Amino acid sequence: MQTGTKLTYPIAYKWLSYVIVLAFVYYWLFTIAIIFLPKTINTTTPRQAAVYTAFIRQNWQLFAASKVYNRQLNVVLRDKITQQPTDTIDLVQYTIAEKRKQAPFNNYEDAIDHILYKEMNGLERQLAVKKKILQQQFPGRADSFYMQQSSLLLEQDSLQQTLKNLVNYTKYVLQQKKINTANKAFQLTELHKYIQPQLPAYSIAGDSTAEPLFISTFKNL
Amino acid sequence: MFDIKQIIGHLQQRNQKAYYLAFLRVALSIWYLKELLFRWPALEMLYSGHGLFKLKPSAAISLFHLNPLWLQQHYMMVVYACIFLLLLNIIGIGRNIVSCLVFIALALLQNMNDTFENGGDWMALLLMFYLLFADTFSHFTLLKQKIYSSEMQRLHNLVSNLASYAILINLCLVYFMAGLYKAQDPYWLKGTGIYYFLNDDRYSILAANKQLVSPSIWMYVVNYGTVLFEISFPFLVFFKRSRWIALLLGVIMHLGIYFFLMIYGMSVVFILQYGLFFSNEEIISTVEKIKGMIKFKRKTLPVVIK
Repeated sequence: MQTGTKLTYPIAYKWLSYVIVLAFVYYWLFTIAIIFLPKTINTTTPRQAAVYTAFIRQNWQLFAASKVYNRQLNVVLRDKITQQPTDTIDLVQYTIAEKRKQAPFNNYEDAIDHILYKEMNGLERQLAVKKKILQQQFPGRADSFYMQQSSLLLEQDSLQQTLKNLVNYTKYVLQQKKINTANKAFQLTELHKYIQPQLPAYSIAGDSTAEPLFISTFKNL
Repeated sequence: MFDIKQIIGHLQQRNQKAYYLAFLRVALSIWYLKELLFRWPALEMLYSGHGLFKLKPSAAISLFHLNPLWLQQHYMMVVYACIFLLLLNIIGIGRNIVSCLVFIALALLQNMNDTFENGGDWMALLLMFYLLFADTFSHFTLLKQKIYSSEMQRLHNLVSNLASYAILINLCLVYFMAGLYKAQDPYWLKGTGIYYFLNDDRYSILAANKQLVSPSIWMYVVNYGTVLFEISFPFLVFFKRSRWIALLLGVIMHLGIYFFLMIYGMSVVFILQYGLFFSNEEIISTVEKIKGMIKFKRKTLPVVIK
């Protein structure tokens, strides 16, 4: 490639080169600091850390955290008149099946799967907070008590959006599966199905690998 | 031993990865276009704020000094801006200014809803960040490259070379950190990390229909092999002799993730960076060889006379 021969301010260019190298070194020192000492950096330089999070996030766990269970988010449909269950659909399995069906061009299904997963994370986080409060207020009760009461408290919390999003998704899936919802009510239940040989500390009767986390009341469709 | 003047002088001589940087600009822009187009039916749900899920933008959106509600109402403007800028970036119009705008637009879009992003999306954004500094316009452009004064050219070379080294350092750091985190996880330490991932029905193609993959000896081999590979990648890739092995193992690992864990975009973004480990001459001679092979095949095709 041809280059011109005219020299302008060679000293300025020289110093600029040093400044660029210095900026490069600073960038890497800061990057290493934010990776190894995220809490310290977030408190000492919150603005710079926020810029990093927005533009050049460096969080590289890449499958490091093993998950020893699979999730189930079941929709139980019940006839309003006979009060008998008519259908049970696992929303997680439905989403995964759609993702598999469209692979490898499954960006849409993959996005839904990611959002559903994050919403369930949110649900579990809120349940854990409520369970902790219940354990402090009513110590020594059975696990089933905390699970049922935290589910109830979550349903009564009008400020939370997570459950509303999951209800919306339930209605969408029922529509997609063309399930007749006339005169039916539904209940949402979330459980962790442990991958053997792992077992949960608290399981449901008849299935030692399943840990119930959330059971909603029946809602109208 | 460590002469900064000499290092700067060396980095100023020429754009050491000119060809591959240009290829990376085009390939990454096409990758982003493909991601946006395949995500098209989900755009309203993801960005409008009134789709299937009511989602909020990430907290970092405040850095853009734009009203989040306004952004949600006009999300298609951001999408169209991304597409337009990516197209300009592919043909090299606007050069580093367009590259910078592409990065800002993509960062904005990513922060409008970061709930569905994976490691590949963040890696791609990081690559776009480094590429905005690099001289990626020596090849694959619609217009000829500008001719700068020799001092300016030296400065350009320095920034471009630092940008390509930044990509390589970042890739090494990513693998090293991933290996380090795995080495701290009790299941990866016990050799069962892979077993649990292969039984994670959300990702694993083998765990379909609630079938359980039974543990076997090769799972332990892959488990410890992955941790060892990731931690040693920065060292293996440093030496010319072991570089090929490291990159080959990396390709195998990413193909495994692609085919068994259904994470498609990420594998492509990671493998795309491997070309930067080779010199400009090595890349150009390989391209010439491939071109030669294609030409030879064309010549040997039988001619049909009507």
